[in-house]
Amino acid sequence: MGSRSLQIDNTAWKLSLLGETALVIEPESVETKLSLIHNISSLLDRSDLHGLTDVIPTYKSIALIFEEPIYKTDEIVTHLKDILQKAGEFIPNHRTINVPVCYDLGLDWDEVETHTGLKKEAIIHIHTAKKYTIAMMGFIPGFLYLEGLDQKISCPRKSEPRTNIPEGAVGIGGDQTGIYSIESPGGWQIIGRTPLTFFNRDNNPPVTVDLGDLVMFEPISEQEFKRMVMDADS
Amino acid sequence: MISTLKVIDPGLQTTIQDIPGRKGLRKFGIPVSGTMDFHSAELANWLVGNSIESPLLEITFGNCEFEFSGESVVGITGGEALVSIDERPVQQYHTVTVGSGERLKIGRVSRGARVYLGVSGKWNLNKSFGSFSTYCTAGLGGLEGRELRAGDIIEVDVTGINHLQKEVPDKLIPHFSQHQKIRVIAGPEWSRLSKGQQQVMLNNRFAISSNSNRMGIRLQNKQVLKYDNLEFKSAPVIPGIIQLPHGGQPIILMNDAQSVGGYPRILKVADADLWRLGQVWQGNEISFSLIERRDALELFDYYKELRASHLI
Repeated sequence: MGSRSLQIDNTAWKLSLLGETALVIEPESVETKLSLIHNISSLLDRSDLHGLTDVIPTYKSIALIFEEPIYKTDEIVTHLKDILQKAGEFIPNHRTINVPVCYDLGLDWDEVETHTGLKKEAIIHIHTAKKYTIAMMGFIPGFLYLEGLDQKISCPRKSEPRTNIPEGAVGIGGDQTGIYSIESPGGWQIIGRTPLTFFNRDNNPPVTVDLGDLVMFEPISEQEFKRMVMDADS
Repeated sequence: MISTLKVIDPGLQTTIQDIPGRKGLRKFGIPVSGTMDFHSAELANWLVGNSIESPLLEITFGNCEFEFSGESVVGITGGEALVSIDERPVQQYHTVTVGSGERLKIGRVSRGARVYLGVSGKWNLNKSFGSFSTYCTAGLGGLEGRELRAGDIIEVDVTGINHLQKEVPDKLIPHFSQHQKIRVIAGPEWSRLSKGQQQVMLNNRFAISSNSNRMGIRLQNKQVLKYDNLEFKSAPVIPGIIQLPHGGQPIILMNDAQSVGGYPRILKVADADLWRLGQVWQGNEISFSLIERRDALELFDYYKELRASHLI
């Protein structure tokens, strides 16, 4: 199977295989709405598609990972059609999350100021001015890729990635902004730190936000940051 | 009756893993984890009469020592190493009994990279999100979500365990040579490489970099594969996918890899061969052999059948 096409209502989907156990579906349109990807992923998560173990949504496509290698796609495609046809009925329930950020704990202000030509205060003003959509996850637990960054403050990744980005780091990577919930290596420019974490291993599921939820950043002082961290630990 | 396994020396990196790892959480960036060499792991559990999904130890490079409080039945598979119990040499790929209070020592791995230690009985551990597999980055699974340390104690309920002495049939014992040929299928972005670049991938031996780990096997080649402006937004990835980052040296994603990747996915290691990549390290070389997807499926079936028919 090279790739095949599936027409569901107004959307043409391209289906292709990834390795032996995965099927990837992708809207054929160049302008893919994230909300479509998110709604379909939610439906797939709740579905009883036989043998499906994982659903991985990305910006433009969704991978369906199965327990066993995929020999024939006909049955999957039939079932998939049923699911995709329900997309219109799905009403997501998104919430807005306020994320306090101590921008004084940023690590890469020099590089970001130099690249953007803007001063730290102006960058913070732009960064906190709008709501971002949680667009994707899947890098490491609790890492949130956020959509909607004002291009005035976009900044290329660091040429030498860090081995240790602290938990709660808020960063800019290319034309995206994002939040690290656990410590990790990475190449994003770190402009602040939040006392919040979106990964909690005592929760099920362990990531406490959904794709499509909205994030609003608000600046806090280092003092408030320390107090919030202490409150969270107690 | 409970027997304990006490870690005297954990070696470089020892974790508790299982087959087939952690399912359902990849979209959150929680990888499947599990045993890198699932072939040897299955053999270890078979030797000790445990189910295929039972937890076991994945020991990187050997050089470890364990003490057993009660009489225990163990099986050691994977990379080649000298194994002894209280200084008495014992064989890998055979069921072995360890006496109460005795110490099991595994020497440095001479061929391959990872040794698997199966211990008969029910391990007294809690699953984390459906699996015993350890994922250190997020502190999930295994023992407190981390690598084993000296002094750690694992309890195993050995009530009613089977002392049947087994040995792995020759046909299933892996042999790890310095150079391994790995079968691959074309990845989604294979056709973005020029014919010349594809030839570089298929006609070269790649050295394994010491920067390799459970997230990925990093390859080194004299001929670096640069590509111009291959604009690429993050796409789904699975273990076995070979990425081509900007630096031009390919990475084979493995058990602890992320679920989304921003680099072209040029090839995919056949699942039937993926376990072999749990047994390569600096000093080894691999080369790739391109096959059709349907052949990869056939191979997978063939090996599955082979194991099923010989492991009775």
